[in-house]
Amino acid sequence: MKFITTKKISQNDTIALLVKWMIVLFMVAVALNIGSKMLEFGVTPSAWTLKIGGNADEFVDPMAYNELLFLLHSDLFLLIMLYVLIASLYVRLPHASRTKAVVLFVGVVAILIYSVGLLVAPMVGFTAIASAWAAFFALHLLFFVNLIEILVAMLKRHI
Amino acid sequence: MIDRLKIISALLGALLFLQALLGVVLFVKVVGYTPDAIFAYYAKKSIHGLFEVVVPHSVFITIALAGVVHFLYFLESVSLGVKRFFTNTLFVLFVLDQGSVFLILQGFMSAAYAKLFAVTAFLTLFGAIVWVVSKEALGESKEAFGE
Repeated sequence: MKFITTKKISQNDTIALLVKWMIVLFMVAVALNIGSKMLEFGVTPSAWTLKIGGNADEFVDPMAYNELLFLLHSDLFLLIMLYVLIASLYVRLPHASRTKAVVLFVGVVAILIYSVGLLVAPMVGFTAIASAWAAFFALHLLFFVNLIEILVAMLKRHI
Repeated sequence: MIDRLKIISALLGALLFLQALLGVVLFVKVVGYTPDAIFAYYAKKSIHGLFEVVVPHSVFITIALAGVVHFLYFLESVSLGVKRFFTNTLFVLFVLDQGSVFLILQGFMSAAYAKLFAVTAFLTLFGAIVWVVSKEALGESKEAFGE
């Protein structure tokens, strides 16, 4: 975690190499997480609703609430870890502090919407699930864009 | 900038709280909060089932503990002895919490009491440390921004 306290990462070749690898593997992790969620829940909000809420007409059982809580518990840990590590690098980019604050704010709010949306999904239904769906994909897109920005800045030795 | 940082930190704090709350709710709902319920739940699990729970918790909670507790060492208002005591206690409680399930699997009922004690004490102590560190961190960031 020395990169968190190092003033300019690119000045230390070893740390810079490690951080670049970390960014590349985070990109892979983000892509895999989207892929795994698509396989498990489906691509559209309707598919997510069917998976979580079930459908008596199609003989699809709803997901057990405990199972949903387990899934959210492990998802949240992954997302919080990714968010904290990406944020610790993103704040170093030479953007306006307002822009950085807005991006970080959007990220943390997206994780909250995703979590709360899934938590209340069995009670609220489609609206909550669609919000969680939108927040999930928006968050992963944001992570991906942030990671590309950080990687470009690292390659240009700006941070 | 300090207000924006405060809002983002507060939201991140809310997320971490939600995550801890989810863990507690899952524990109470799925396992139960009595020694008998804890014993009944873990005694019927397979060794593989225990590893599925213990391994990810060992990795992630250790990272979370190291991340949060290292901030304690920046505080000047707490003596080094106290910091070391709380660090050791926290890690020992975590090991007891995770390790006791293997003793339950061997049929030791007393391990269920140990698990219940370890979970409660660990969460209380960890919550207290998060509270102290957050309180000091917000004060420090105010000073750093000249407010």
